[in-house]
Amino acid sequence: MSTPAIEATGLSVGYRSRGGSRAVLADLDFAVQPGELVCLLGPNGIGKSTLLRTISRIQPPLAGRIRLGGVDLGGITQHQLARLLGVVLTERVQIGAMPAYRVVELGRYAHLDWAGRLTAADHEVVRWAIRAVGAEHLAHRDSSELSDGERQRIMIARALAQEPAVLLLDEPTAFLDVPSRVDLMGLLRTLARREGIAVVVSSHDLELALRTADTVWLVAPGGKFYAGAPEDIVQGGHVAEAFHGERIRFRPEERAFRLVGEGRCRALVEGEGLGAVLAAAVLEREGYEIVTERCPETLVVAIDAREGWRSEGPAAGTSFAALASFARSRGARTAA
Amino acid sequence: MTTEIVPPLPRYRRGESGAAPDALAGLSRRPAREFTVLAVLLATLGLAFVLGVGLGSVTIPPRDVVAILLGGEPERASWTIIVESVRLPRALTAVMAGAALGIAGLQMQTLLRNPLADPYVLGISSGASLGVALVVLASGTTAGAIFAGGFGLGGDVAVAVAAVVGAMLVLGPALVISARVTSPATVLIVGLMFGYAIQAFVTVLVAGASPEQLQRWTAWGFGSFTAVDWSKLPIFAPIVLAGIAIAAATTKQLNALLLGEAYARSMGLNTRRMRIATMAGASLLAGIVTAFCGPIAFLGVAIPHIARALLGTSDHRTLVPAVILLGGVLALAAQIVALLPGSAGTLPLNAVTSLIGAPVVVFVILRSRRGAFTG
Repeated sequence: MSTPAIEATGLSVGYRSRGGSRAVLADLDFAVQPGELVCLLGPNGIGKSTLLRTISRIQPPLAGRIRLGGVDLGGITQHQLARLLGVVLTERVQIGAMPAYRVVELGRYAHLDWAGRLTAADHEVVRWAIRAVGAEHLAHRDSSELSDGERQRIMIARALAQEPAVLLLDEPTAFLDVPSRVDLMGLLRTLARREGIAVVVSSHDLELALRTADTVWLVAPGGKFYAGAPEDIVQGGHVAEAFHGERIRFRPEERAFRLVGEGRCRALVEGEGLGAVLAAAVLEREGYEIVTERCPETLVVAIDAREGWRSEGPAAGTSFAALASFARSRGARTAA
Repeated sequence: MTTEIVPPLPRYRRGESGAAPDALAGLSRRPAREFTVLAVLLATLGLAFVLGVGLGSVTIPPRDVVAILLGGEPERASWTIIVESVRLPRALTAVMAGAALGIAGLQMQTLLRNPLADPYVLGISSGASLGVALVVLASGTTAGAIFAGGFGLGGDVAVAVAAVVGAMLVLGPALVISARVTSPATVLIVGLMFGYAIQAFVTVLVAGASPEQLQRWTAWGFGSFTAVDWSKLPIFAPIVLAGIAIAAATTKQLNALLLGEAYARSMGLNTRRMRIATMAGASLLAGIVTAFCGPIAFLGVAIPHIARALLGTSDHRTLVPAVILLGGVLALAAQIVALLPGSAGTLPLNAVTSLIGAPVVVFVILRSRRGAFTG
């Protein structure tokens, strides 16, 4: 195996103050290989940003050491660091009047002479970075006219233009709509694989992250840090441990959160296909607990081949809007 | 979602990419518009310079101005004396002062990511004013007596040093604060408060001044490019050129700062050192111009905005030369407009720059929602 892109040994992150230091996460050991996509997950205010800030050397570690591409972060200049690590932040940047291509050019900063002249080779790297994020169609446009998703894409190309071994993204999808989020995570995955860059991205979008990442870093309350394949993290019950609330529950089977119903009513869906999945979703939203075995008091909804539905008991319509209103009236009656 | 699994390949290696697709072709070159605008600005500056030299209490035709500047013989010999002794230093001062204020404004706006930042807002000019006030208004005291000799060479140096020191005195604390506080907005507010505090000292000094001192102070406050003659240019010019050189040598750093300090640092910029270099250069420029030409309002904030609008770019590699040229043009234009009353006298320069500058600032603010400039 080659040199890890990121290697942390005995790392403690946190804040130093006059009265001493307060560790948010202590004694971490982890390694990220080139080409690996890591998603950093955890509830708000748990220390995700502190960890990212420490890896990107915005703040010093309390203990331990970090190596990027085999180079210890302790003894290098900001200039040298920029050739190892590219960073994309949450903040919306107002760049001003400048074509997107020029913004990507800015990423060459640490590679240029004092006058800031770009050579033909520099321009070649800039074009590579733009192609790598699939932004050829954006390159000529003014950066102030780009949408949030397009601008993040350009900011990633700019980070790539630094030719880093590691790409660090702090909640890059925070301002994006859902299709742009999925798109961006897919892009990060492709980038990691195709360009052999280690990508670490913090995210609030747990479901998407669990589907996309090679490795999940999960920070749970109490300074616990779990690293592993998404499926191992799910199986270990760590996601449920990190995120729990009175009204929500993590469903490992679906790798998703569900609202917890009152549990007073049960429902059974008979049949297969999308119709059955949607019928279960409707019933769940109305506070039914979905069960798999028929027993007394259970509402049974059967899905036929045309994806229409019928219930045992009162006759009902075939659309899911009708199922919803039916379930609502049933639920109200049962509760009463 | 579907993600194709691509076998890991090494990162970018030089020379491995094929032919550039059409979408990216030509983007590595700077647009022709930028060079056109710079050429037009240079030509305009030449024209404004000839007009600025030619106009005044005695009008000299442009043809003769060019002849004199090129060392030839004008129609009347007296014109040569007028040009060489008065008009040429005045025009040179105007060009340098305009360029200096524009560059200082540009640096402040980029560094603080605030479209309205300039030496006045930051209190740098107030600091310079205090320096000048101490020299001009304290000339009744023992310390003042040394410089009181009708502003001889010693007086000039004293005023220049006092103004630059005054500017730095405001910047000193501002620098210390800006090195610790990451938010440019905080630095801006601190600068404003320093400005107010210093203005209070100046007011106290003015209140206790004699009528003669007060007159001198008021005249300085009007703003003028005429105070700098050949004896003062050797002090004025090198400091302005040094200040501009700092900006010209840091266009790469200024460009990196367009994305904000966090990004600039992540791309390899030593933001702390850059902040100190830029603030020092800007205080040199603002201090020396304030000392010799008075507190000239609005040029520093307006010039960078007009340059951005003309060029359609925030790229400092083009913006810095454009601001130098445009600063010269606007300062000369203000100087020419100030001559409008004819032989009867001149308008206060500050009145003219405010009339030109204020509408520009308002226009720029109204336009700013489209993201036409940083901040």
